[in-house]
Amino acid sequence: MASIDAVLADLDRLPADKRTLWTVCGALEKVEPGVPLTGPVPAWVGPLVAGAVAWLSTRWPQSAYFADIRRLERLGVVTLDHDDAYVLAMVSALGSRWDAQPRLDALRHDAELRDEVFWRVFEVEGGGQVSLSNVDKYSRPEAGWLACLTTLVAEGTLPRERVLRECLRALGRDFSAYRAGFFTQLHTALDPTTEELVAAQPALLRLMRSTVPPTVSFALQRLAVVDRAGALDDAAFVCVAAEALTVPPKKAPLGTLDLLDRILARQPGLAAPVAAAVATGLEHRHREVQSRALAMLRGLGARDLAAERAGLLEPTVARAAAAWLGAASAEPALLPAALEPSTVDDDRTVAEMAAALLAGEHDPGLVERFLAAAGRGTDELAALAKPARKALRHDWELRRNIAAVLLGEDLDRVPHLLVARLAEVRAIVRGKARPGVLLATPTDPAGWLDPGVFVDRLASWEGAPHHHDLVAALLKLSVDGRAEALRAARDLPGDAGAAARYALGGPPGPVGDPAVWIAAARGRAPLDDDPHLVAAGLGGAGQGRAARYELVMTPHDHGYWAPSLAVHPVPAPAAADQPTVVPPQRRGPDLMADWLPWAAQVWPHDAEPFFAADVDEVVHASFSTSRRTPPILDALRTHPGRLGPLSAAVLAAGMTTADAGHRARAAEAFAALVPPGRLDPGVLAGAMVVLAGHATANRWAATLRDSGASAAVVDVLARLLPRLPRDHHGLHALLAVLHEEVVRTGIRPVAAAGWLAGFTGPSKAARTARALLDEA
Amino acid sequence: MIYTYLRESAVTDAGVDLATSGGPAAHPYFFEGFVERADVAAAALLVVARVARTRFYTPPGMLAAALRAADPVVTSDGAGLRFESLSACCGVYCRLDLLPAGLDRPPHGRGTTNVDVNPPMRDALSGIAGLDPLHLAVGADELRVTTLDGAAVERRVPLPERWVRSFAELHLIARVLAPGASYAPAAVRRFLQSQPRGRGALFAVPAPGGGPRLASRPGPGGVGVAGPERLRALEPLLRHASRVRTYGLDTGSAWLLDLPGARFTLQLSPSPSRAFSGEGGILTSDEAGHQGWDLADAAPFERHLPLDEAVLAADQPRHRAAEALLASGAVTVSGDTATVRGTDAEYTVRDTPAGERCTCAWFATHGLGRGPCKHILAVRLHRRA
Repeated sequence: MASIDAVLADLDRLPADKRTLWTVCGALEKVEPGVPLTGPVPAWVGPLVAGAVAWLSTRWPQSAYFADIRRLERLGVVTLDHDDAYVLAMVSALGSRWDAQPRLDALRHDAELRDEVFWRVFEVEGGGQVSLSNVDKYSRPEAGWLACLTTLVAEGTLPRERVLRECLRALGRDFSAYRAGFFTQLHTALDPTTEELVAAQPALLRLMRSTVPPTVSFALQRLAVVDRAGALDDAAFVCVAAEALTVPPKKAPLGTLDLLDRILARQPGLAAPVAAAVATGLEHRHREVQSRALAMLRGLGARDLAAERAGLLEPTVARAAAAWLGAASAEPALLPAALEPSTVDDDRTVAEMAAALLAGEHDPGLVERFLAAAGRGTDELAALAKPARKALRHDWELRRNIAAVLLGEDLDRVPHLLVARLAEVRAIVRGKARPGVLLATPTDPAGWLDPGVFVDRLASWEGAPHHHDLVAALLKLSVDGRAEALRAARDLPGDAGAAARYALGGPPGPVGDPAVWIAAARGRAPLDDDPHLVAAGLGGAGQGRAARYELVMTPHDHGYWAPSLAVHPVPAPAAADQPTVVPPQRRGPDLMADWLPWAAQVWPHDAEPFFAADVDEVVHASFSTSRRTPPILDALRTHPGRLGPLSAAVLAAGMTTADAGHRARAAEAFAALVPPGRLDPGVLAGAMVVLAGHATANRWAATLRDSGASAAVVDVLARLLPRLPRDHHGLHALLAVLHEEVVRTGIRPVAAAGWLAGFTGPSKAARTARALLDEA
Repeated sequence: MIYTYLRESAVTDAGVDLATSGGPAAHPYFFEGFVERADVAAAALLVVARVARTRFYTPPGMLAAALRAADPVVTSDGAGLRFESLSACCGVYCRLDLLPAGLDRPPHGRGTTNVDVNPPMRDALSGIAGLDPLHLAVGADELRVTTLDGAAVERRVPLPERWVRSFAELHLIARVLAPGASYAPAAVRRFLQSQPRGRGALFAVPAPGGGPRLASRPGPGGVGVAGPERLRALEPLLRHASRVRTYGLDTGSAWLLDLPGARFTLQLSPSPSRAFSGEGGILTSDEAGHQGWDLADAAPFERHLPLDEAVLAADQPRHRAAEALLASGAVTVSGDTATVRGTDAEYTVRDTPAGERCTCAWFATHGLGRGPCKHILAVRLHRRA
């Protein structure tokens, strides 16, 4: 043991790099108790401790470091301002994440802290890692602030009345919903009596105006208790009731309407303000709230208040309102704006195009135009070495591979036709392959290649063209102008010429390069089997035989459904030069998001291989973030070819993704594809059946609603619902959407009538099913 | 920058008493009178303060950044009062305009100052309700100042320069915003309560029911809402609004609420990660940086910020870089094409009917949407010389 002055003198001799809070605290543990500080304190100690307080006010160390700071204060080594940062440091480090005792001990035995500082935790919101809510969220339940405070109130260390009052005051402050949640939990944990709630009525009424919905619900529940005790201030409640009617979950608004109903019964003189408040209920998005509010307004004769809000009503409620207010006109739904597959229409030089690609632009038309320019050979690209070297940092992205083309670096090892095409252009840029006109450059924004242009380009080559370029070109051949192009191609030499003629509808010839002939066959009759290739031993799905893909969802533990792909009739092995072949199990990494618009154009005739390769990504986007999902969903709208079961599966999965932006894309795709018949509603319903176990029905319901394609929604749901079990989780949401759209369109879901009739019992789904049957 | 207030702002029995700092005087005295609706003014002031202490975007690698919110700015034009703030990330701007019709008397003077909106005051503001007028004081007259105890309140704020640059950019952006659809406030509330979130460029377009809906592409009447969750700051004011008007430009937008005796504008940057301060409009603008733009009136208003002249003149890195390129002889012009020699690369700047183009990474990323790159600026300077 030593005197505090001696310890501090020793500390002052420490080198600068040893002067830490923990060194100081460790040294002071050796101080002789009861001996006061008389000598000077090293000048660096104060700023060091103040810095520690500032650090703790924004970081949560998960341990009880604040005790050391308090000890330094008590010893007189430092004098700290008990400001907001100090309070937050206490919130952060008074206790341990695992152990309740340090915090309990501190508040039990440190009277100054308890009486002067502690109460400010109800005033200082905090943020980031440091707040009462956040510390408790990541602490053991028994070691958090909530458990500590309830214990201290129960044993009388903290006055119960003041804690309850401070909770309500804190909820009235402008705190975020997350951080306000602690105070509702604490107030609830203290289980206030009816008398305590009656006494708190003014504060509770104030909380009804909170901008935090859970706080409004909390206040309403407590005011309902006050009402049952016969002590509610009716006029004051009516003044604030409108705020509670805007809370998103329907429970609080319905509870508010119940209370207003009771007030109206006992205080008819309040009819006018009650009506004004109830009218806000018509603005709520839930039809039960709207319906209840409408009935109350009708009872009050508040016609004008209802008429002002008629445009906001759900169709079923609007119909009820129309019987009272007269019919309201409905606006027709708008189809989403067209989505162009490529928007490149400018006069950029090859260097400008390369710079744009290196900066992350990935329009497929731009990529193709750059490759075409680079394939012809150019000196302009040398100046882009610097941005290309920077772009090499973006592993796996398209821009990294464009940079690799310019710099002669290795391309990413992704077994895909597009990477192979880049490799061919890289060889040209590096002078290791012949420059020339690339065959596969599309002549159409959607990726099509004019057959006549193709034949001209092929004729311009002396010798064999680049292999992957030829494969890509054969797959893109448009159906228009083939006969004329075939005539022009009659003298094209070699295997490439023969394959080109076959692709254009010409006679079969000896199968040379398999990949070229597979591409020719898939270009010739994309969706049919090709007997010539089958006879040549190329009978795999996506080779000589047209592939059929099927999404299979397999249930696993914890509600997870694993997607897998089934390929019919005979799966073939994957190869970079056979993009029409998608095997059930793929090897190697996926293309990153920026590749996908270009990848979607590989085979314009049929979207199924593209979606078969990527449907699992969209399925997983229901519970994880996904940068690849937006371009996949966009491809639904931009792909010019056949949309089949896998396209439908992608759309069905897209409608249940976690990201609202993804779902907006899915809603637009639904509206763009289903009403005009681009995607068959029966096929989509079938895909939804497959995904039903995995999907969140509420998200499907919301996305279908947002599509605005009411008739198509009725069509799809009428086909889907009878194939779902009547106890399917979330079924009511889908039934409710069907009901609203049936009322909106007047189309009856005849196909589902039998299934609807099978509902029994009082569930919400059963009630909605019966309402739907009544519509018929 | 240090804000010095003579006292803390407070809500007393007499009303809202806002302390001021800097501007035309050390502690200007702009207004003392009544605002038409207490609940509207209190709610809107709270939103202005909330935006100022919110970071809607945290750059990668920045964990639990401490928020050092700047204090809102108030401008008096002799007829009305405008309270403005920017988020800590400078990607969200908001402004409360207390209109002449909403004040019982015109303000005393003109100018711009900061006002203190401290936590106890926010606490008190959140308790203000009712349809009655609210007594509001912005600053204090000499007599009242002399009765105060003289204990000044100081607060250090690290980012006023970004605010100043953002205000200057906002003026240029706002004046070219195109009107979009207008909506019933209840419909906007429903839209916000649907928790619209999402990455990338998104749009709010009119839905058949009359409200906005989230879309991946622009549509008639639609405006960009990249980071749509940022719009939720408007939610507390919608119950007071009579109409919500939208204005858009590319992926950015402004949302204007008509309130009793007031207007409230919330403006979103084109992306959550983009601060208004970096939009580059003032690089090529000859207009003074001491103006704001009123969307509803389609007219500018005067706003002389503390330090604005110094900041605007001194801190334009791209402009300085362009001058350095020109001074080093890096620019060679030949007809419509110019080459600019950088440290280890040569860039080509081309005049096209669609505007200038450059082969640098900045231009490839942003085009001319965030002002010209330093190479284009250097070529312009060369041509002017």
